[in-house]
Amino acid sequence: MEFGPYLMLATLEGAVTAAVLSLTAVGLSLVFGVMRVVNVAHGEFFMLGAILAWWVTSLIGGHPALGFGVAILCVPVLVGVVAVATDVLILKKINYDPERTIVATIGILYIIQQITLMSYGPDARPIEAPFNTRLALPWIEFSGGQPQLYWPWGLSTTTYKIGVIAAASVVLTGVWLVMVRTRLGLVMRATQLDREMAMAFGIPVERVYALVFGFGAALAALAAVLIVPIQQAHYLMGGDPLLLAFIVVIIGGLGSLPGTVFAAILIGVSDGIISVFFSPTLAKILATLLVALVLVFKPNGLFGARRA
Amino acid sequence: MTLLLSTQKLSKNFDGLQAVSDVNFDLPKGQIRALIGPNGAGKTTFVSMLCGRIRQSSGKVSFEGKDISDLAAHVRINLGMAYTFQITSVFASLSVWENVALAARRASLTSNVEKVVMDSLEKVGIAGKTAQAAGDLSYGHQRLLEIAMGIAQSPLLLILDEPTQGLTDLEIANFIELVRSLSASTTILLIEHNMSVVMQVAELITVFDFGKILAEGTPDQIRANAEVQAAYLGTSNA
Amino acid sequence: MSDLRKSLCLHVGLLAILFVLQFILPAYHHGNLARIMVLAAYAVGYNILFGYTGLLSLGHALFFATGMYGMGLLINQFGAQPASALIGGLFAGALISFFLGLIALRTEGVAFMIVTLMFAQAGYLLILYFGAYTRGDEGFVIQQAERMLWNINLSNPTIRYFAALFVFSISMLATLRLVHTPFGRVLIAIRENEERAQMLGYDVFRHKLAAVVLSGTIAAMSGAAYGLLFGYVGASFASVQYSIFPLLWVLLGGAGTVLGPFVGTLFMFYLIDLSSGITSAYMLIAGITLVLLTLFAPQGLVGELRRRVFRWLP
Repeated sequence: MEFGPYLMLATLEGAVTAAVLSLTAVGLSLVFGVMRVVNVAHGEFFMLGAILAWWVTSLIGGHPALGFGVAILCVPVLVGVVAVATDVLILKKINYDPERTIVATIGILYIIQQITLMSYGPDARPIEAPFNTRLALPWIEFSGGQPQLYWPWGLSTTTYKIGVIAAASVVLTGVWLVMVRTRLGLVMRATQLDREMAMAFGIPVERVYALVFGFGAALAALAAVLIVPIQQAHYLMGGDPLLLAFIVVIIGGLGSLPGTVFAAILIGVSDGIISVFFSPTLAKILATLLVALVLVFKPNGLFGARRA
Repeated sequence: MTLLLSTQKLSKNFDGLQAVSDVNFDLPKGQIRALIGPNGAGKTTFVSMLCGRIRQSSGKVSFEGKDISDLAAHVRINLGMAYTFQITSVFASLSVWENVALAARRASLTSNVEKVVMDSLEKVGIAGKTAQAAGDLSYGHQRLLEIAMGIAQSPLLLILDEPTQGLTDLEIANFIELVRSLSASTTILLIEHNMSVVMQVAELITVFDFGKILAEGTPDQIRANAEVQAAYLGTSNA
Repeated sequence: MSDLRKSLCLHVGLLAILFVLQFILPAYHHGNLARIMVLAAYAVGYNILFGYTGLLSLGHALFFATGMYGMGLLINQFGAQPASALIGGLFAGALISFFLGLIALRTEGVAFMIVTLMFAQAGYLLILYFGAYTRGDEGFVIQQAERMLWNINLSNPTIRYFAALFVFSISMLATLRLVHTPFGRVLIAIRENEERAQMLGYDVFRHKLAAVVLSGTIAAMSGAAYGLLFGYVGASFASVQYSIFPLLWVLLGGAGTVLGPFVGTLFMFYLIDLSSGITSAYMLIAGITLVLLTLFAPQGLVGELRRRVFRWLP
């Protein structure tokens, strides 16, 4: 394949990554923004989503779409419940102190990861996509001064991947609508802006926190359920999404949903392109250094609002 | 009369709120100066800019004739300033002794530290509490500890931010004696709301209001000043 | 007996016990203790930054690995003598920690934790990326023949034990000395109330940077020693796990105490040793311990002991 079509392929793959990444990142950003804590175990909630999706689809059997449909509805809820439990049992007790929370969530990371290892095992297992037809994509070539479409071999995507992008867009729009149009969203934003004032207005801050924490984890789990038919479910799969989500949140700026989505698209597509043209390791090195440097030199992110 | 400290058009702007505007302030060496004014007048912001705790938005600060406007806080302290906090800021889980020792070590030789610490604690009257954790002291004693930490640095300029807050009448009387005895070797700049203390120790009083100097004069002059009375009505603690 | 003498007796006493154990312990525990002592030195280094200065780094594996790979690559690629290789590893660690400090200390709290984590991750990935020289994930072995320090065979268990004890002793005694110096007291003051320390005239940035360099150099020293004494250099020592471990050991043993790091390393080593006999998911123990510690005993074992009973413990 020539460079043009190859680049398009890499971009498409990146778009799928970006779709899933934006869901994961928005989950992390909500928690970061409203509760002011860093949840290092966020990647494990993602992984848990994938693993539980595998369990559900294996239990149900039959047509893949059936199992998948059930999974996409229940698994995020299940993971959300687990997250709420960790919030109430652990995070609330340490009063959401930033440093202690990071240490506690590191512990939670290992607990979730290792329990998965003990039960699910170290293997990677696939699940079948509910629908998956190959779509060949055209590329434009100029021959004799006239633009002509041709279909390069290898330049294709699948209906499922398109579906993932569509699903992510729908969910994100839904989240955005909830945040800006509903009372629930208003309560969350109020708690984010000024916790003390929110309490003074009778907002049950602790319940909001539990809800937000659960919701953030559910978003990550949903992202994982979407990606599992493409990638396999493995107990260590939480690490990369965590890193990428981190980058997105830090670059996109806190408390900005559009910023997060924009950054996710940017990061997802670049990661895809660099991984394809150079090496995945190099992509990761650049990504980690980018997070560090942005935090040091531009702590409010490249787009984030300045704090007074 | 040599000037120890002076400012030229010193200003501080907090995201639209002008806390201090174009203040020209001169402090002669050896003086006991009081800074008074209603809450929110900009007194703490002003002295914070003097010792470098806050960076000025514009204007200059000079100490001993040299421009220190761009110097970091710790450098200014090392030039001979000491600042006691308005909201008590001691090392709560360290002992009283260690608190003062930390202050003393920077300014004295190691062999002298013990003596300086005990001296400072004795002068403020809490020498019996050396082993206690600073956080376990009563509020008033913590403020005395702050003052001891200031004295232990043997500063050229001692800035005291509301030092008598929380002190008993006896402790306030001791404090007034202390200030008078210190003024032989140290220039003192004192933010105070307690008018009785101010009238008894200050040689000169500067009145702040809305981030500017409203008036400056001897205690008698200030007492008679109509504008000052208007600004202060209901907020003084005579 | 004055507090100072009590504490000196206690710490020197520990070293004496460790010395004697050399002759008593069966081979399995003997080897374990040698590893524990070198790792405890790593924890001691970490404690200087975390326990005494109050800066939580999540990237100390970078320093440990720099020492280890500095030493290892010098021997492997350049045929250096062990003594020079050790010094090389140490020096590399000091240099890296200096530059990391300059950058990372511009942030604080949570941002500092993430920045250190990111740089350590980048370091780990670089080791994998340059696999041609570093042998990546597999790592490389340092042959017995190369582990001869001035004609002393470091592979001999007894020699190795004493070498480990030596490394641990200098780091522990250095910390003990440090906490009684004015510099050490300022680090503690910075931990307790940074603004107040600044307003007493101390250059807080310089002190923090010195703490980072000291901590990083000790970590590098233990990394170099570990690689040389146990004959293996591998990327796993640069991974996140080896940044979490010293935090775990110090928290468990007692941050801000001199003995804490050793107690924590000893405990955790055996806890994990025991549980890896039962399941391959032994890091579960690490996770549970971390959660329990943050919830119920943030002071750690020695820390609680100091708080409730022995107030003179440094």
